[in-house]
Amino acid sequence: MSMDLDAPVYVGQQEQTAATILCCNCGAPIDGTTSAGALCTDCIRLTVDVSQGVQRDAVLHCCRDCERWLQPPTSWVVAAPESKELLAICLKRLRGLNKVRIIDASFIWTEPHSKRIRLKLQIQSEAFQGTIIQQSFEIVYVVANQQCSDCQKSFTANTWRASVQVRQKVPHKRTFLYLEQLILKHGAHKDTVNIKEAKDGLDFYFSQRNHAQKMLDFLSSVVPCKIKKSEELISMDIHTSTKSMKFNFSCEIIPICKDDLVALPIKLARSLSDISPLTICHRVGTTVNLMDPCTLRTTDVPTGTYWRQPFSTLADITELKEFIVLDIESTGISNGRYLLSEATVARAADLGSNDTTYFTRTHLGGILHVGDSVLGYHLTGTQFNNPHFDDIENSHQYGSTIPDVVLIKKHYVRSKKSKRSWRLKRMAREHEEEATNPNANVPTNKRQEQELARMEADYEMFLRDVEEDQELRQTLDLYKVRQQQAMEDEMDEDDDEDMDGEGHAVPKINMEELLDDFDELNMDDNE
Amino acid sequence: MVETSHMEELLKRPLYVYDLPPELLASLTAKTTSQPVAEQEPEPSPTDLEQAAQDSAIATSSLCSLCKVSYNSVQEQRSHVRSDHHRFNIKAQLRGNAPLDEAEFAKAIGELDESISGSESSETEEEDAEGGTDTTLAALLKKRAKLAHPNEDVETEGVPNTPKQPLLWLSSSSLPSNTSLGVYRAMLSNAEQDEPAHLVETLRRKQLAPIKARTNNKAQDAAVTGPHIFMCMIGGGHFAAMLVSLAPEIHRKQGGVEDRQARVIAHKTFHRYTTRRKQGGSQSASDASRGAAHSAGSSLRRYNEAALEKDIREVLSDWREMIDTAELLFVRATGKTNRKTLFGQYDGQVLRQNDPRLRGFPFNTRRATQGELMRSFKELTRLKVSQVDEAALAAAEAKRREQELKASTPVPKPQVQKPKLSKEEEAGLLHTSQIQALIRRSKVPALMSYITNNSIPPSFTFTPADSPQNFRCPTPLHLAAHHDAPAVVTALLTKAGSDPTAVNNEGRTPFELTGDRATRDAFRIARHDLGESEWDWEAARVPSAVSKADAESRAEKERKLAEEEESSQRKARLDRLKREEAERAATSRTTKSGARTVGGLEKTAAERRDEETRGMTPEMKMRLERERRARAAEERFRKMQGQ
Amino acid sequence: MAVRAQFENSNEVGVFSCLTNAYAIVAVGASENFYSVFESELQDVIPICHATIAGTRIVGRLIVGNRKGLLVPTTTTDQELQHLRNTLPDEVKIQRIEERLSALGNVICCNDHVAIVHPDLERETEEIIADVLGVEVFRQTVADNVLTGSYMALSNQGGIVHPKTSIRDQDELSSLLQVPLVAGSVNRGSPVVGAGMVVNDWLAITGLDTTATELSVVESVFRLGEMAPGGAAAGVNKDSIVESFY
Repeated sequence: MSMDLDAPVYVGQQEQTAATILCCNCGAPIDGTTSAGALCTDCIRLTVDVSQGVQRDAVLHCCRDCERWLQPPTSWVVAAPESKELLAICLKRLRGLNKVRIIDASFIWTEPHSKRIRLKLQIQSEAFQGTIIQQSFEIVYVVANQQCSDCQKSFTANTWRASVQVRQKVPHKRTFLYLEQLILKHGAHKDTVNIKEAKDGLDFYFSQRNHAQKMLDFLSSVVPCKIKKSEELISMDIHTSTKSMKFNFSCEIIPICKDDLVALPIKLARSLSDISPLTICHRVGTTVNLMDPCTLRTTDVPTGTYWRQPFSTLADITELKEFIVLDIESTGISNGRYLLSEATVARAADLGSNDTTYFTRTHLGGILHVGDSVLGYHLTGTQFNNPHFDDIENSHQYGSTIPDVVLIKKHYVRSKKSKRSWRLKRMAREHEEEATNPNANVPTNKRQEQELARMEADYEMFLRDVEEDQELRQTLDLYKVRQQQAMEDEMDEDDDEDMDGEGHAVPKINMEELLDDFDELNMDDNE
Repeated sequence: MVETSHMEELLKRPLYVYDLPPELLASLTAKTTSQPVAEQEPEPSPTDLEQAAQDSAIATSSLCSLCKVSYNSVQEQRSHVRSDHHRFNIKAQLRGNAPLDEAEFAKAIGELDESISGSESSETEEEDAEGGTDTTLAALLKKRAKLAHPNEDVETEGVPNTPKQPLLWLSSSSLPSNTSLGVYRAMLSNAEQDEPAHLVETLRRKQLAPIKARTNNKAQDAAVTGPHIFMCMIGGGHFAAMLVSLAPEIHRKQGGVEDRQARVIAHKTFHRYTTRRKQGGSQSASDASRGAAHSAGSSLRRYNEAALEKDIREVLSDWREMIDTAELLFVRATGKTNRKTLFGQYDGQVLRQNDPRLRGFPFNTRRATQGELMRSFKELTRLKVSQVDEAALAAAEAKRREQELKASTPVPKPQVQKPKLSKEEEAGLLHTSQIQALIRRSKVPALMSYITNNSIPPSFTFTPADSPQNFRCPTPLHLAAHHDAPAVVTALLTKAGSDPTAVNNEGRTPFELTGDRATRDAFRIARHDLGESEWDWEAARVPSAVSKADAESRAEKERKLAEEEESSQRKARLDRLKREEAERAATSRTTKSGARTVGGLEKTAAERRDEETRGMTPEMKMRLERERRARAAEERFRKMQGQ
Repeated sequence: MAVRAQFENSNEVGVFSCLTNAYAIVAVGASENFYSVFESELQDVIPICHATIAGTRIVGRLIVGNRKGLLVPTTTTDQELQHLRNTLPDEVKIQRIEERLSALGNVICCNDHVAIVHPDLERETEEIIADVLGVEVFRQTVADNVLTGSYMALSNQGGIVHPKTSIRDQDELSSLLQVPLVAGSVNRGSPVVGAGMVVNDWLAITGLDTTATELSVVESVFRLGEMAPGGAAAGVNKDSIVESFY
């Protein structure tokens, strides 16, 4: 209770700290009671190396393609340069570190292309009983390239375990271009080992079945499709019944695209809320959305329903003709952004040759004005080889309702080489031809040339769709064009303003909608 | 000559306390000296002579750092190193215990049942004595190890601060002067112990006539009524109890030699298997600490413990009458269970813990057997004969005193009054703790009221006088001065009338313990207020008196001076800072104008960096950071190459 | 004189040998190099005995002795004892000790006058030490270490103690033993000075690793430069002394 009082002090209790022994190495007088062994501090520093058991250099393996680091024995780890993760990998590479205590470890900066990583390490260890020595030293790692197993697989043929074949049996590629953007946006292609372009579609290859399954799930959530599965036995261990299989998933997308004219079987049209059988497809989601342009009634064709009773398109956008709006009058009926109007149009080709005009009802009342040019299907002048259309013509109920013209979309006049201030990302894939032909970039024959031209046309078409369709745009990732190009574009833009006759500008995309592309950002950009 | 030879003859026979030869009894006188110490001077060893030549290189040490004992010569050092004290300290140190200084060691030995000097003093049996000290040491070490446990031993119950000798010494005029006779203190009743001066009378009173042994059992009755003692030992499943009559019994052997023997009235021993073989400890202790085990052995032991308890209590209740009339009760029962067996609360309890007749055995005892009880009885009732040279004794005593002083043990004054003032002592302890607490917290009014309420005399000293905290500050005034409490000092001096001339064990007055001026002033003011005649202020070493006003005015003056100093210093510092600021601004302006054109508010590098990185994604920030570091490194390289 | 030696690649000379002013005991080794070091220094001066103790070669740690006597542990066989008796001078008393701490060389450190022993040594052992070796026995520790024999090397001229011994402890011990003491190490910093070297009044043998500094400390504290067996004037090997001057 009275610990704070002084205890009696004994004389001579204070410790003298005088030199008591001589250092056994150099003979310097030191205080033996506090010294380590019988060495003075200088001699300890000179003679004792606690880092003896620690390696001074080591090799780190890095995959050149995915920039991941090998963490022995088999795992590959993503680690940024000079990150904690990389430090952990570096330290794990060193043998003999478990015998000492690590105080500090830090990177010494090196040029990345030097392929060296230098580490400053500070360790402590007990040299003698009661003497801890701290020492810092440097370790140099040589970064060696080694392809990781995943990259190895993707670079080697026939290493896939599952494939997803996506097909749409239509003459154009618009759906796939759209699909490509969706996949890019959602990163659904991350697990693919390879992507190949095949006739009427794409093949995705995966190293594992569940990756393919994931892809299928994604596809079925964005496009109307039918999935079939097949598997092939590669080998089987009869003792344990473990099999290795290859899986093929066939995914067929309904061959009906946006803006296609569709003649439904009458029976089906009745079952789909008694819609008029001649419809246009105004949107494709997970189901096909059809609309009667004369009444603005819409209906969905679920995938299952479609595949029970498949039907084909009556006409697709390649058959669109240009019309000029002579007169347009709204009826006041609207459905969403569509406004039902009655329009009088004449074919653009007929202007000047005859005075044939057509009266039609259209859903584009909202955007069409007198004098606008508009694309549509010209039914009166066309001969269709479609049994369903024949049925419609022959039926009492619908035969008389077939319009002369079905207007699909407004037509904007564009200059040939229109530069866009935005761009889309593309997916790296190989054409089947390319795989066999080494110099595939140069078109060798006429057929390929045609193919290429058609591809470009399809892409241009798709880009225009993106420009015109806000709804579509929202599902995609659009990026700004690089600065240099953008500047050139601006200069160009001055002389050819895209204006049609009445002064309606071609729809443009706001800069706010665009994203920065960080892939190209590097040190050069800033200088 | 005949006389002395006769006496020597007497000493050869065991001397029974209750049946001393009358001639011896008549000549007995009590020894007042506390303890004869037998310390022989070691003879100078011949080796020292040889080495005298090289003494210059040999260090001389005058203090044993372990035991805090100083010595003057090599002989003293060597005898100290050989001493039990030093050996005990070495062993204690190796076991990680704190070493004891001399006084503490003496106390610790005193607490032990068997005194070192008691056995060592018999020079004739050097061998035994040495063995004895060894066991004493071992016992002491063991005891130290156990000290952490709450020890409810009877022996330590009334531990006095001074070593309480287990033996009381007597001398006889008919015996040679170097012979003294010892009787165990435990054999006396509490009242008799309190007046050691009347020891001889007490002994004389205690003499009993021996009883002739008879073959028939009628004598039993006489013995039952006669004085007798009860002894019992319990431990490790063994129990032994005995009722012995104090009056010796005379047997006649062949040849007419009279043989006196102790007369055992009744005895009983039990043994039950209760201790855990190879692990040690009783089953109940093990159950309590580790939970009940369910082995066959454990249940057996548990049963046996209960049975033993029952048996013992039966025996005790059978003997109740005899125990109640017994003069003394010697009981050895260590451990909770053993004590509970004897003293626990149960119906028809015979032994009570607070019985004044209760004694422990003041020496080491072995396993509880009938033989051991008999041995203990003999040990207790025999007079110890010790032959010590009186002159050597006195010298040794003087030296011991001197060393005690040197080792700064408390003054032996309270030792004398100690034993009879136990009640006062207790009160003193209570007052001490209260007053010390009050002084430490500088509660002047509370302290004054406490002193007046309890009517504590001005000469009050803190009671455990040998405790280290009371070493420096034996009086309240000392403590107050030491704690620099001027208010308390003033109150104690002026109101309580404390003596400023009192000195502590270092010979210092309260004034000399003060640590600051205020407290010193308190003393001087008190001198002024009380007047020169009240105390011998020179002896109290209090300098000349000052009045309160003087002191205050001086303090005020000093405070002002300090303040002025402080303010002038602060001003100087401020000036310097301003000057430096201006200089810095001037220099920075020149450099800045050369280096950069940016005017207005200068941003720190960190702020600029923050601004640059604002709104960037973490990746970009990292990229920027790396780049910046790379540039810095390049800059460094350039600089290095440039040099 | 101080020399360096090695017993089969071990520097712990004091483990494998025991040196006193009256005799030396060397462990039986596979090679005779170690023995020959003793022989070259001590031949014709004092008897050198090849011995094992309890069948082991760590004789230096198991036995302890001085000019007057030799103590061997209870594990010593009768044959070994007989061999020692036959080899050593008659005036040397040999005694077998029943002691729990049987590595006597580790727990006892003595010269011809005093002995510092382990505090836990039995009382009987202490007496035997005093009787047989003719010394005063003190129970002490060296640098808070009970193994006095391991951490202290002692001759009549001086002594080396564990390097961690404080000056105060050194002074106390020195004053107690009446010989000058220093703290020091042998065998390049080894604190087990007792086991790392053997010493008598005119010769010290240390491990081969001992540095020059350590050796100079040893020579100075044991006064090995000044002394010769029986004093330089004894004349027993005067010739060799004179020789060594050149």
